[in-house]
Amino acid sequence: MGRVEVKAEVNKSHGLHARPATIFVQLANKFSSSVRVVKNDEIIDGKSIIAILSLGVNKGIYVKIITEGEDAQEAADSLKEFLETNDG
Amino acid sequence: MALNIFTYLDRQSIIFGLKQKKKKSVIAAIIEQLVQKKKLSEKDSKSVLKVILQREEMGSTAIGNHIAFPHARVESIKGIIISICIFKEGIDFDSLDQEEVNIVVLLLSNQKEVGLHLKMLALLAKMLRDKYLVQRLKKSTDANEVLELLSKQQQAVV
Repeated sequence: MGRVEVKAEVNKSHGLHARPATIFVQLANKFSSSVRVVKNDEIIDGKSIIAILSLGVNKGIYVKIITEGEDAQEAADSLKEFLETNDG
Repeated sequence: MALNIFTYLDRQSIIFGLKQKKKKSVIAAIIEQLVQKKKLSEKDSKSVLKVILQREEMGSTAIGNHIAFPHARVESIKGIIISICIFKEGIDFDSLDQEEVNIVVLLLSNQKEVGLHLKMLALLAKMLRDKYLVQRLKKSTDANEVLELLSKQQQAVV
């Protein structure tokens, strides 16, 4: 069991709105590790679309991704890469 | 100034008892109600419906906790328009997890209002991720009760 924390700058043109939030959760659900996202002092379940949306993350904001489990490193790396890629 | 959903939401924005049970017809019916209640012009309603359905084709806006958020940013809309449609019996909204939807929140905003749109989406998500609130809302049949529940919830989360 590993635990990984990474910081990521959200680089989606319109922030983490419904579409990228959905893709983030789909990606997070491919891993068995738990995924949490932290913005300022708010910690939410990274496998819940409604929870991600509730953070209201704009472009350029830094969030922390915390993963725990067998594939924690791979999950953290993939999710960070997704957030940092500007594909809409 | 903090964002307040009641700047955009009143009794007229709350819809109950739609007979439609499928995503496309539900969205069309909500838009029709917005036209009847003069919140949306007949002319704009066609382009709004088209944009919302195009968005739904990219992936369902059912986001969990029995909530769906069909939305669009459209040039002709001034500010924000919100409508909340409550289904006592869940409907099929093509959710990723096959979960039925009881609360459909239709959110329309001006094309240029990217920041405001995201903030409103975040506020509504923060309010509606509460399972207890959703249970209460889906049993409600009175617009005033819905507004009161939402008002208390907004005060609690902001």
